[in-house]
Amino acid sequence: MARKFTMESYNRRELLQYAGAASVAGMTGIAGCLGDDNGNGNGNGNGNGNGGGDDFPTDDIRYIIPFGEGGGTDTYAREMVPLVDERMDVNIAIENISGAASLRGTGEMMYAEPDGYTIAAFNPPSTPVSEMVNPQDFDLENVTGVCSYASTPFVIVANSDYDIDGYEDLMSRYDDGELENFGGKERGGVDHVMAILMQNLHGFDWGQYVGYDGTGPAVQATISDEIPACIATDTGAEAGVESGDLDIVTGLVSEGTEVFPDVETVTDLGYDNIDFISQLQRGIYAPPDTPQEPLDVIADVVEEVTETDHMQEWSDETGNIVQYGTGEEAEQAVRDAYEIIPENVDLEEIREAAN
Amino acid sequence: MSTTQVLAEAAQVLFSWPTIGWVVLGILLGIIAGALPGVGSSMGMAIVLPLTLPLSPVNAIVLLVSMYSGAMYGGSIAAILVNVPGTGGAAATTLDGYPMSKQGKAVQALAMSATASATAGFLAVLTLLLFSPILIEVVLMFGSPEFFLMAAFGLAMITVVVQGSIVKGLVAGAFGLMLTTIGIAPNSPELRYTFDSLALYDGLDFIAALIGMFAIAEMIKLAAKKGGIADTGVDMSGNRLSGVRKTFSHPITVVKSGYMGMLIGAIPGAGATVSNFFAYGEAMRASDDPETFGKGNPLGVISAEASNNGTIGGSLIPTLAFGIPGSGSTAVLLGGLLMHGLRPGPDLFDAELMTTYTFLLALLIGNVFILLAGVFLITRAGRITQIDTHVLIPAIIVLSVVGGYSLRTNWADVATVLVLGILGYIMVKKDYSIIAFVLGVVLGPIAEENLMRSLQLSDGSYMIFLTRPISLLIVILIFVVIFGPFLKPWLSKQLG
Repeated sequence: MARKFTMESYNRRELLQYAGAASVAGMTGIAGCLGDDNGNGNGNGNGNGNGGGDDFPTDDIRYIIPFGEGGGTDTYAREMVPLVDERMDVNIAIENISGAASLRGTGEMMYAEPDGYTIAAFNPPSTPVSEMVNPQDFDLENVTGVCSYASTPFVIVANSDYDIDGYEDLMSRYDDGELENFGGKERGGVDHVMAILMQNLHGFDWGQYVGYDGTGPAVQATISDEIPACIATDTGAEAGVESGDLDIVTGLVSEGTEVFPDVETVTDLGYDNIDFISQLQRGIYAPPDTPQEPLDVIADVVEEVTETDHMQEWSDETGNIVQYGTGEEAEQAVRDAYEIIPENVDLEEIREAAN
Repeated sequence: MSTTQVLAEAAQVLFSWPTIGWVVLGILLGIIAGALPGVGSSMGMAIVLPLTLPLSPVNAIVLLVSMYSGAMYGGSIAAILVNVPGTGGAAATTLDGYPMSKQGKAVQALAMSATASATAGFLAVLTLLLFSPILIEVVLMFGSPEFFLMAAFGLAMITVVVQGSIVKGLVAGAFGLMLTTIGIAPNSPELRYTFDSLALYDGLDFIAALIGMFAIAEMIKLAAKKGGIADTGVDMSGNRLSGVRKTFSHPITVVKSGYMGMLIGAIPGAGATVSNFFAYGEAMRASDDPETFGKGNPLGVISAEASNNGTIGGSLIPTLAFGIPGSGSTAVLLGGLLMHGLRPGPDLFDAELMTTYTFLLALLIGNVFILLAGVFLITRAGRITQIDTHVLIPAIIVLSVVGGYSLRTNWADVATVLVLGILGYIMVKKDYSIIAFVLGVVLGPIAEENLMRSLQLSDGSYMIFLTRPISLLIVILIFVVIFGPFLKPWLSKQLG
């Protein structure tokens, strides 16, 4: 069930070409970021942790979850942490510091000592988008990636009464004026930014964006036909599609999704790749300037844990994908969000999108 | 999976350990909280709520609803023994319960109260269970405009539930409503009154507000009293079996009062505090010798106690279906559902149906424990009302502060608990309605979010609230609630 996260499956240059093609201004950003990429890439990623890791950790590690108990990020943490605990000499203490669209807990980590003893889980592009919309004093762009452990792709679903046949049919119905409203999670969040990107990059011309308090309520509103179509996570849309209330319109990640393996993706149809925003890259992060050695120790253990039978079985049972990615990939997801989103979306407009 | 299969599976969960243990613990804690005048169900549940964080959602909700149910019965203990209702819902019980005590029939009255509470509670929840498939159909007809209007209806109910000065009630409600404007706006990333503090980004936690209003305010009030909560000694005499028999010999009163409680409970804002007087009044009206009411007529105890436990089944309808609580206790229960990731609405009757059935069954079975506790532990019940305030007050204040902090590990919540506790005390002293405040603070975000979304859907047109049949109906209801008192005299003048 689980996929292995590799650089082949997530070709950054290819993705940047797509996104950059949409805006000339974007190209300058990319040139700069490729330089950064090469510079950092050498120091990271081998992660066998033998070097300076011998004396780390000597103390308990604080693992901040910037979301409430029982949410997606918390669920992953509570499944993985006991296994990480077993493989380390110290305890990993989960601390839920929820609120402010994950900025409270993330800020707590950003201001902590960069010694490897305080790490946090967050999911780009979601937390970076929250920070871009409501800028904070900390510099999230410079966060140190430990590793990533999963990704959650987004899809578009529509009420099945409309018999929508794929992304292009959906777009033409909005063009014709047959459909007007489009929805997803709250305004100013990832879904809203994604919808604006699709408008700018794909010419998907929806009229009004209607925001809901989470994927569940957005899917429910689509089933009850309050809105004709919405953005949802693949797992969040699964039950509605299975029951026949919803049709899956398109996958927004170029690789497709495990839940709907047969559905055509936007890139299959030749539209711009938006992978940097159309999946939550669940990662673990440390404060800026944390030395690499302690993080390698943690990353190695997480990698080992993601490959255990226990995690794979849990993944099969729950549909929650578990896949390891390096710290560099985790950092890249944050940087991509900060580089590509402002190039293609007017953040000021989102801030003012009160009505 | 069919509904019956889900029900069978829910029963299996309920009767497995430790879930069934949480039912028993919840009922006992509820009885104790209910029997302590000044504590009662809302406060008891508000204090326990944050402590349920480590529990699984099912066990946490089972514990909370069992407390709710236990407290409804527990309220009658203090009402009967010391003439002080433990909860607002037992106020009418004092009218005949205490005279029975004075006549040496305390045990008989307590046994009657337990039997009537358990029977009516059982019937109302059973009815809710049977009608839940229909309820879901109704819920699915509700969209954003209807949710806004339901919240507005709940706010309009402030004018009905407030006793005394309407202006003070509206001020209390508006205060609650205004507190909900703190934090990120629900439909846009706009920050309001956060003073650049991340701790205020999500606004005040309404559970913290409830803990402050219910627990701290009451404890400050209690601190002004000397000695035990009830100073009078209690006389435990009377025959328990005759109490049980007496209740069953009046099945019509039990059933009628129970369903009246259920109906009134289903109206947002009107809880057991209203229903027990309605049922008492109706029992008196239907009686051959209404003059014996207030002098120890068993029917007075039976009707009041049947109605308040009947309220539970009813008050769960708007809470589970729309996230609109009918009372302080259901407001706390709503907080519990949200805290454990259970979202009121269609989900509770679809993806989470098993959880919903498990706690409805827990309520059903809880009534059996109420009956058992009421009949067998009754002789010890008097001791609860004698607990010294020197023990009670510090314990509850510590639990409230710890609970406030553990909600979101946010010191803003502790400040909310303490500041609103003090404000709540002043409000009680000056007759500002606490329930009006609760309606404001709980319904504010629901009203705002759905109002803004409705206007997004209609592209800014307010006609969206009138062009759909259900919304139009609710608009008319709101109109009747607000203008009814003015229209009634005018109408009768026209007709008469």
